Amino acid sequence: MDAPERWGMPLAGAAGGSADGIALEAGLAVGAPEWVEAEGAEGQPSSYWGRCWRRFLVDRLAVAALVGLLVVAALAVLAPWIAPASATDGDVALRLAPIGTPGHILGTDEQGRDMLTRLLHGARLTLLAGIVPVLAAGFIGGALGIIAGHFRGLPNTIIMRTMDVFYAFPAILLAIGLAAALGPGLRNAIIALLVVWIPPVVRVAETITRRVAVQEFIEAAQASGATPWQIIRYHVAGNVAGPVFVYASTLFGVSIVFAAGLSFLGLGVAPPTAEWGLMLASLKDAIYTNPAVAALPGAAIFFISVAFNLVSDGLRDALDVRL
Amino acid sequence: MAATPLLDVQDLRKEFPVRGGWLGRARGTVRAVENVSFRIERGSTLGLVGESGCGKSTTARLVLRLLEPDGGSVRFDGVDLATLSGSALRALRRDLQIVFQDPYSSLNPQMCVRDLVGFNLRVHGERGPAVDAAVATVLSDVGLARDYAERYPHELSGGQRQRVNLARALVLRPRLLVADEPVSALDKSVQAQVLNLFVDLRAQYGLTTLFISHDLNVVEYLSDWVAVMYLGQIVEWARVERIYSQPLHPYTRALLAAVPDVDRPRGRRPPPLAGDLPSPLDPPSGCRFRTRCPHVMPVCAEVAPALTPQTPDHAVACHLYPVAASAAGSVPPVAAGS
Repeated sequence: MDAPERWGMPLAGAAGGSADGIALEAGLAVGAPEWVEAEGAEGQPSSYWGRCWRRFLVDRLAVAALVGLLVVAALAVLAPWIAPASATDGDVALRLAPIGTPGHILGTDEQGRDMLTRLLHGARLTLLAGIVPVLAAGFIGGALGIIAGHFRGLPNTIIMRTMDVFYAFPAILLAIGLAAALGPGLRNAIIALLVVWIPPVVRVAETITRRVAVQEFIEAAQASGATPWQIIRYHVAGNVAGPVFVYASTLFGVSIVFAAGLSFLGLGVAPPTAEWGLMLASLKDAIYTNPAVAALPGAAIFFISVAFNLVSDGLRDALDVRL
Repeated sequence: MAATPLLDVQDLRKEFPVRGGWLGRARGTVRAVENVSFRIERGSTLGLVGESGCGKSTTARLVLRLLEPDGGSVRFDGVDLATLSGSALRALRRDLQIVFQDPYSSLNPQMCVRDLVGFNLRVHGERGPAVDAAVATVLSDVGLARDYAERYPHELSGGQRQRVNLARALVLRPRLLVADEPVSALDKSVQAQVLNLFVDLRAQYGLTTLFISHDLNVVEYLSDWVAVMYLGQIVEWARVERIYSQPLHPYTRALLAAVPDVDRPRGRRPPPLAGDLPSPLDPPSGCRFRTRCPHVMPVCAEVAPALTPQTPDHAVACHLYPVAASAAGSVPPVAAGS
């Protein structure tokens, strides 16, 4: 065979066989980005998600925010066991005690209930009402968006035009309207927020799916004889999940603010249950007499929301997503 | 049994509507592939050559039925692909595999090499250790060491990625392999390795091949027959030796003249092809090549020349050559086994 002769380029002159080819190509691969080399040093092959996680760990601020959120989540879960006092029964003689009062480190509210206890218990409901709708919307909206983006045509029209209807209302107004229509209560607040968050997630998932669908590996999967569902499960879903997760993470902060807002307006949980929005509402009359205590639930909402946004930024950079 | 060729493509047509008119109405149609016919005999390779945008890749996708044709037929081993659908079509896809051009977007970044290659077997219901064994065999056939099975695409070079693509196609033991510019995205030195590998595997796996490329050197090296495409039509086909020694169509000649060749004396090169490919939205009347042809005649604007055989293994669509009284019309090249 005259192959090596005819195709004998200077570099490949001695090659022609595949064993040498590998050596040469491996040599060429050295110029990869630095994090690839760093992984090569460990000698561990790295999965897509493994790499993303390692890149996330580089972002100190995001890691700190994530740790903070995990601590708050752990405290919230453990609230019934670690809280120093009762969340619903107060000492009427000791109302609106300032921060630093012995026995009540963060003071007491307008009914003499321990603020630290109330904040710990409140975190449970506030986090629940903020996170659950976003997670559920991520799955439901992600699935709808993938179907719309992958199948195009009629499914796309039906799903996307339905979502457009929800866009006719400002998000917060839609949440208030739905919560008011469904009636007060934690479950209804979560449902209202879920309906609010599904349409934007669907839009993002649809856009990303369309971007993935034109890649040649989708066509290769089709050519191999895979069914549409196999293609979605093994090739589309994983590539859409990252960007959708990043987008959904940007909603956590807003969702917590919305959840607290619904409670503040009396559309969430009912008193005397501890919830940050509700606490803010009941303490708002004390803003002149004891501003530090009155501001505590608001500060908690603020810090949690900021922490979520920091984590979200870190995720976006780690997954290298452009939305 | 030389009766049925493995692949028999007849009068294949594909049009793409161009939207963008008022209210998304079709503004016109691009006739991407028009009346393309060819056959490939078992064990032989047809090289399909042409400029970017001439319809080569569309032809490949039509042959694999990744796109639905607007006309014509594709018969694989005597079976008309248009009659198949659903699971019957998916089952037949084992026999028809493709290697894509882009080594980057053709591999799912989230799957390691073992899963990428094994996916094609799992799609056809194969499970367990047999899959792992088949994957290991094919990876060693394409020259990837054992530990590459655990790697992810971002850890591979362009040449290695194309080896994975080749492995992914070959693991199904296809009978026809369509290679859509498999090396054009690679460095010249890596191209040589992948092409040599391709030749070795073609023999080892007994492949019949449709090899698409814009690189005439590559096609000459690999093919038994060559078909030249221009604006969605085949303008010339011949055995590979003939097309390189005696090109007939002015377009083929221009393409060959544009091939860099260190052996050719300086100053003796014919002028390069002037102008760009005309818009396929509004192709020239008559012969589509007339706007760039150095030998253009009045008849070229009026009558589209038909593919006419000049010898039994060479046909051309050009008014410069006589129309044989016996066999005017579209005669598909029969790529006989070599």
